Amino acid sequence: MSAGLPIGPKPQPRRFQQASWDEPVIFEQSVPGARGVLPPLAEPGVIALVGDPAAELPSGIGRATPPALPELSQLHVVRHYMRLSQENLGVDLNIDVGQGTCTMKYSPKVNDQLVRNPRLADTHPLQDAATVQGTLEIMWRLERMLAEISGMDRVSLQPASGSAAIWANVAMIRAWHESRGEGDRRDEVVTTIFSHPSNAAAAKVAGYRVINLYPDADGYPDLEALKAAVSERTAALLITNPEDTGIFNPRIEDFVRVVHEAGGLCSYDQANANGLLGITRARDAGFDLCHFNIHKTFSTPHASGGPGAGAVGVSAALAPFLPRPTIERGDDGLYLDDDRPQSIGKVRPWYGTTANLVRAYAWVMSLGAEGLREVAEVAVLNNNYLMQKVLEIRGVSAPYATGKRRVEQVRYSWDDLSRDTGIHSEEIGYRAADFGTHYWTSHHPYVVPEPMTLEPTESYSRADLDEYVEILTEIAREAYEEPDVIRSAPHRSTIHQIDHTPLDDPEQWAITWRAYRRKHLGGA
Amino acid sequence: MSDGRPGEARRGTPPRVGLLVNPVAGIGGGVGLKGSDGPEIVRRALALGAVPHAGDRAGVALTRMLERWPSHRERPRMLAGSGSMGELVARGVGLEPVVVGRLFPAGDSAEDSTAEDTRRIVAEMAAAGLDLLLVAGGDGTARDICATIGTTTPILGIPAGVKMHSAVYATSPLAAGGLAAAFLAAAPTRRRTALAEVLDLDEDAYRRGEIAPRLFGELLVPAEDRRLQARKEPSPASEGSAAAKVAEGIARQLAPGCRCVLGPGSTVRAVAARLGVPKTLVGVDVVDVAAGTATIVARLIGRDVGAAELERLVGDVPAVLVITPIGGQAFILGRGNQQVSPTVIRSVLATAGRDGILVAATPAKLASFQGRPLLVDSGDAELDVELSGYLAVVTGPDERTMYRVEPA
Repeated sequence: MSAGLPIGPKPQPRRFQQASWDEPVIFEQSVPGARGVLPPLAEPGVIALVGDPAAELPSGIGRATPPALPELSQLHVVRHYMRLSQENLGVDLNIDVGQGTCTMKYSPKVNDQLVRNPRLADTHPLQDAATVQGTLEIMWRLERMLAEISGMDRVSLQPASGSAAIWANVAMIRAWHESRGEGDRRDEVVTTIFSHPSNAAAAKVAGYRVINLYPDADGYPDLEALKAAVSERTAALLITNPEDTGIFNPRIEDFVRVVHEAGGLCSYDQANANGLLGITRARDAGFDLCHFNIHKTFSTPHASGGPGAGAVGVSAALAPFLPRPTIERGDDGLYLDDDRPQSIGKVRPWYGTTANLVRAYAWVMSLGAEGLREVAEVAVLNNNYLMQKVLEIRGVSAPYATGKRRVEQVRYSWDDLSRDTGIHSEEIGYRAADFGTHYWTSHHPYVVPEPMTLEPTESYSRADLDEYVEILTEIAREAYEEPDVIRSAPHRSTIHQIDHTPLDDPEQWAITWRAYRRKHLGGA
Repeated sequence: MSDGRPGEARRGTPPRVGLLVNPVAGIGGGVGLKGSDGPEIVRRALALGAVPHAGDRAGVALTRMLERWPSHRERPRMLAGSGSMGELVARGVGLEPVVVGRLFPAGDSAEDSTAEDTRRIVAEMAAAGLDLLLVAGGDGTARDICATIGTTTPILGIPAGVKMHSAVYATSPLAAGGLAAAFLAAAPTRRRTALAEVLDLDEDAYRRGEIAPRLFGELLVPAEDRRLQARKEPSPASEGSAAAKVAEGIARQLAPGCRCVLGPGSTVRAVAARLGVPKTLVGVDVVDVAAGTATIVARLIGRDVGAAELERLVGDVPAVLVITPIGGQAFILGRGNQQVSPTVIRSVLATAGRDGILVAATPAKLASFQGRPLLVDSGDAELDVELSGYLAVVTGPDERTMYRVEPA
């Protein structure tokens, strides 16, 4: 660095100090009588003219008792949420490649401006279709784009999340078999152990019996196991490709053929589609149905960090079963068609998470077809660059299909490091917070021991990836040389290690303030 | 965290911690004897130059426990086996133990310690009342304790043996010390425990190159997610509920009117609990599932039966077999359940086909095999081949997992 600057060199890797406010729950800050807004009473003349407006409301919608909301001033509310927002990590704050399978790409802020436009933000789902033609046009076009990207014939944007989309696909699979008189006989769904767990979950919710497949000796989805699993009871294959290991199934067409020959349908879970945009298409591999997570692959904030949005795509044979309504183009413009007798019905109220669909539309339009393919190529390049560097770190491996390239994510294992040092993956994740990052391990159970799932997407620069690798390298060094630093981490975060027990124990867990008060404060 | 519940021990009451060191644990390992059970092997090991190290490992664990000792608790009141069976180690880290089972003067030679000493000392300590018993040893030591005190007292193993198949041992002495401190930091009513399987190998068979782990019983261990061996789920609560889910999955597959052979193991015991019948942990039991009832009702018709009795019971009625992989070896037949003879297996296959062999395993247990196949060694090589291939293992309600089975 040049002489004379009044600041010294930054430590590498850079340290991160999270804000720590010991912030109470907002309900605990309630002061009886405190108000954010005190609206003035109407002018006496207005009152004389209008009377009591509440008298106009239908009887039965008024509350007998006021809601038990916290009472705070505006300043206290603003301060509370500002503090919570500082006690955080996230894509806008840090190098968020650690939330593997979640595709934490950057969502351009300009798209939020579009969503906040009053012409969109102030519309209501109950408005007549004639007054929201622009919004419907955006959705109609986005449906066609997703149909082109997946190769499917029809798309519905109604589902509110990826899992809701998968559920819609399972419901369509059931409706299709019922329409052919095989609904009772076909009661089994096949999936793989490294597929998105929502496949097994949605199938079970729909009443199916689930059969899981483990990888074969080479680490690929096991075709022989699939052959042993399918029968005249098979309703469908629900499979993610690439799986959460980042391994692309090279025999995917054989999988589809085996299931089709048994009379089942094939549904492609495209939660991990970010490395495939413009490169492979679900329909081209023979799939009958597919879904997208609009909120990750198509650049809107991931669900749990904002509202989700899902899309389902189907072949022409499955189109009659799509959720209703569908968007159709008639003589008088676009309209919502509710008259679909074979439809599985609604999977959520209204039609789609409009804000996310507009963001996704803007994102696709800003890139074009070539740009989408470039997104996928850069995501794959970033991932394989990252893998190369991460595998140089002592104690890390990438089990299954060893030595092969991965698509857009990798499920690594710290098993070697853990055996050497007694440090576990979860503890490394805690320590990463001291450097302003974090990572996610894996779904449970841990099929890959001591797992770490990284997905760098297309958003991060080479310098970002190098910085992330530097952090992991430093923590691995600590594990071998000064493991107690890791055992007591995080040192610079809002909270330190938390006891997981209450999360597993129905007697202790508290999802709401009311439950917390009842179970932990002894209140009624 | 508040620990002021009524009836709870006062905050200031020092936890009572027992320490038992099996001074000859693991002594046969370093010299290639594959175990240390019995005085003859111990003498051979010492003759080959083996150095006892169980005491050192216990010292590491105690030191870590004291480093991590919670500031709000009084220091532990130690009870220790005499001499090299705990007393010396406790004194070595500055603790003044109450010595139990004074058999010989402190510093007495290690080879004089026997399994009988272990049992006597443990029984005496447990009778005196313990919050936690720390044991440095191996599978044989865990077996001796299991036979003596069962699940009356929480124990935690400091790994020092050659054979370490039992889930009662921490992954390392350091981990054991940290886990002990964390467990004792909680108020007595808030300490969570779980049952852990005690397994052991037949050492003579092991020396011949055969791996034949047997399930001996269960011990109560501190429930902690990450520091015990062979526990892959984030918390034992999850693993316990996972076994209950597997049991529900099995129950849904049982046709009313069928006879059901229940093999050994805690997963199968969860099935018995679901069916409302008692279960011997290490034995084979037989129940009849009542016909024509909406809720499953089962009746015990054979308890801890041998091969001949089993063959008679499944002779010509439709029967299914419920078994679980044993320990870390992934055997489903021929280890720990030899009562299930080839004749029994053939009877099941004849009436119910492969669907009659219900293998129950939690997803975490299957994952722990790291892709290695399930093994069968029924005693009939032809039958083993017939049983191999893919089997749909029941891993939850309406959930099965295709898994490879191979002859051992």
